[in-house]
Amino acid sequence: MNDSAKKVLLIEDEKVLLELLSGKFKDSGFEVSRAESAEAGIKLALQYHPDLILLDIILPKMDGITMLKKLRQDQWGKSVPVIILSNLDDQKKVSEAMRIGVYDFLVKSNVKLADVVKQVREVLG
Amino acid sequence: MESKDNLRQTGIEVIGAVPWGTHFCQFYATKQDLLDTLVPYFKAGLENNELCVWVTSEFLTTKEAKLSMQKKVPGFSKYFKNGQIEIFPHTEWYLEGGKFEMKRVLNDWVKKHDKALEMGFTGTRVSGNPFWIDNKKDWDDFAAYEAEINKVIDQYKLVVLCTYSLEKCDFNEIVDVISNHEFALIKRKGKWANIESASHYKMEEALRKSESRYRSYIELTDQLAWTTNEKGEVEEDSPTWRKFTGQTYEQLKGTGWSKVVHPDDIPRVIKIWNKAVAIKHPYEIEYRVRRFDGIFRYLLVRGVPVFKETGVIREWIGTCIDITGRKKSETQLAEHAAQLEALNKSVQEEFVRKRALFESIGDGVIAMDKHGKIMDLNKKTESIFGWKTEDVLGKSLFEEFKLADEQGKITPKSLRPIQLAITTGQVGHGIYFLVRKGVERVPLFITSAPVVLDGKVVGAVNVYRDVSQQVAIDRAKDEFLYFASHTLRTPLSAVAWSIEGLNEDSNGFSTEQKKSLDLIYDQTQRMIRLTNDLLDATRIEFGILSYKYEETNPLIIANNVIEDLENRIREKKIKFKLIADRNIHPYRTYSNAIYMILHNLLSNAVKFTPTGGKVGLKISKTDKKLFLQITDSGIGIPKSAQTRIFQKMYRADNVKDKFEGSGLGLYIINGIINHMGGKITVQSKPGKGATFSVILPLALEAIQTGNAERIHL
Repeated sequence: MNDSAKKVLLIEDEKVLLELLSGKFKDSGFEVSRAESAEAGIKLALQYHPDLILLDIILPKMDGITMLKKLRQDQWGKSVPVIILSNLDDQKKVSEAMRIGVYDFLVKSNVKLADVVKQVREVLG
Repeated sequence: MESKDNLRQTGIEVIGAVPWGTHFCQFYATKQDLLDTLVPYFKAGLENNELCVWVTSEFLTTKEAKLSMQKKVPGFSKYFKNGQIEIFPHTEWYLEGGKFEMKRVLNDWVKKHDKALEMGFTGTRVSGNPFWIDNKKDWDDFAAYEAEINKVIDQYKLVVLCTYSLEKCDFNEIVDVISNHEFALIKRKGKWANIESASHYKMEEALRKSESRYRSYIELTDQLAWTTNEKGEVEEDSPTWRKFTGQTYEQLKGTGWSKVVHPDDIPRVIKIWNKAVAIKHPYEIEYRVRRFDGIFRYLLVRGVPVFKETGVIREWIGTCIDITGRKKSETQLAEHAAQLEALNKSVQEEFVRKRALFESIGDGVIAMDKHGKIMDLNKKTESIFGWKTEDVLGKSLFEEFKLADEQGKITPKSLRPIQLAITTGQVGHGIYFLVRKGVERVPLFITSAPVVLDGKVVGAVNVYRDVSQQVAIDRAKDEFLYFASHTLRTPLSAVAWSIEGLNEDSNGFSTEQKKSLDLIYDQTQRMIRLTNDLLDATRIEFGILSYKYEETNPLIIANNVIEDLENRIREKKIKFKLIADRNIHPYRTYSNAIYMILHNLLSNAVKFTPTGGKVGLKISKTDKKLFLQITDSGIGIPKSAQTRIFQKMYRADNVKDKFEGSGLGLYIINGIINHMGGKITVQSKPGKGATFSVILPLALEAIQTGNAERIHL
């Protein structure tokens, strides 16, 4: 961990998964912020300006796609890299997310945590 | 009635005055008989300013005639000198030129008559004596001449007295003479008597003339004339009938005429005839009569009874008119009318049928003009929109209801399907939500088709399908998929990631513990694969498996799949061989489908091939098709199982206990291949491996379009 550590914002409402993700990213040297809802997530994002956002789709109240749309309307938010990490892999959702602008769409059960980190590192160069 | 001016004094006591145009005769025995009548006859003529012409005979010569006149008529010389009286022998008149010629003599009389009028006489009084006749031929000719005089005398100011010698006439000749004159004078018991009633003759003449006129008229109008006795039997000839039917008089007389009446019409003819006789009333009937040429013609027959003074019918007279032409026109008119009626009926039936069809449609249908004005709608529309037809007819579709999207955002007029139909002439459709006051939004699948007439869009027909149920089903699908993907995957993810973490930090674990961890991890992965297969199979069944239509290079996808399977290929020391044609270039297709097909078939090949075996992939292409061939040297597929391996959950006997699997993989890719219009086949012998051959069409545009139009909610 150092000052130049990349900041990752995790938006995930399943506590177990959020813990696992959070632990993994911290262990991998990232600075992690966490949100359990889209509303809290966008607030944190706009406040702390993370280097990358890992976003779930199915969230209480506002869903991840709606949050993504709002984020993209912000001057800073329109260019922050976002990777969708969701178990909902409906092609419609995938397409919609891709259209709005995300780096990737990962299905949680189909990826290893190590692969997620690897993907994030690739995006952040 | 004759006017007094036209009455001429004959000078003969028993006759008195007669009108111009009187033709009478006298039978004489002696010269005195002749002088008794002719002298006063001409005297009266001279006194009444008539030209008098006396043609004498050998019986009473010109000389004798003149002498008698001179004796009895004062101023005769003056009359004679003035030319008011001409007396000359028959040889200078009837026999001029040597023989009797009727036409010449008649002409000469006309000339005399005209000359008299020119000279200022009121008319001409003549007398002739056919005493010169001594043979039958001349007698017949003269009789004909007399008859001819009767025909024409009315037109002239003529009084004609013919004198016949009783000695020269036999009985028949006397009858001829009398019949050719209006009346005859004959001496009976020393006194002159009139032996034929002049009035009767005149009446006969009038009748004859009238009949002649009637017949001329009939002929002019192409009618047939007939008369019958009171019983309807023909007694008199009917030349017009004969001419028309070709019957002879012998054939038509009595009831013979009915022989040419159409047999089918006879009963009706008899019935009407009997009725007419019974009520003594004119009748009219149409019936068919066989013409001379054998063709039946329609005749309009009219008959009127002629009564005796006693009120008894004396005879029937009537006419027939050929109305075949009219009848034909009538028939044609009737046929035409019948056709029209039939047509009208069929149009009505067609209309009713179309209407019934229109009403029976389970969807709402609205017909509009090009401005969106509602022209017609069916019952179902009423129930969908909650309208009453009469309230919306003629109103604008855009005013009557609003459409919205799924989120409730009102669809602008320009984006409504009817606008596409009317402005572009193309069929527009899509899912819209009907906004109804106080009612939850109703999802409608709307199709708007332009009505094109002579190349111009004149309106549109919209079909509204209430897809509430479909939407409900779609929601249920979504819920299931949400459950399967999110609810099942989330705990699996948690387990998988936890084990991953444990594995990374497993230094303190015993071998047994590590083994257990591997087992848990493998089973979790298996569970994840089952879930994934279940999701794909479900999507295939719902027809909602999403395809990514994009520029795709099957070779690159094959390499990705091989990369994914690299570990397993290496672990099992499988010799993998990829053969691809040089012409494998990117083309637009379902990239994820190609991946799924290759991944499934190659992972199966690796799975069922023993360590050290061979797996091969061959990719080739023609103009229209892509061929994928996956071969392995694995355990093979029993013959009996080969037809069943693409069925859902089917697992062949030789694999089901030894190999992990859901029994869904081949089912899923078979579904995908079918969806793409392709085909998958298998060739295998147990123990000698298997070959799966996939053929996929390169052109998916049609399918792609169809897919894009699929209703996704």
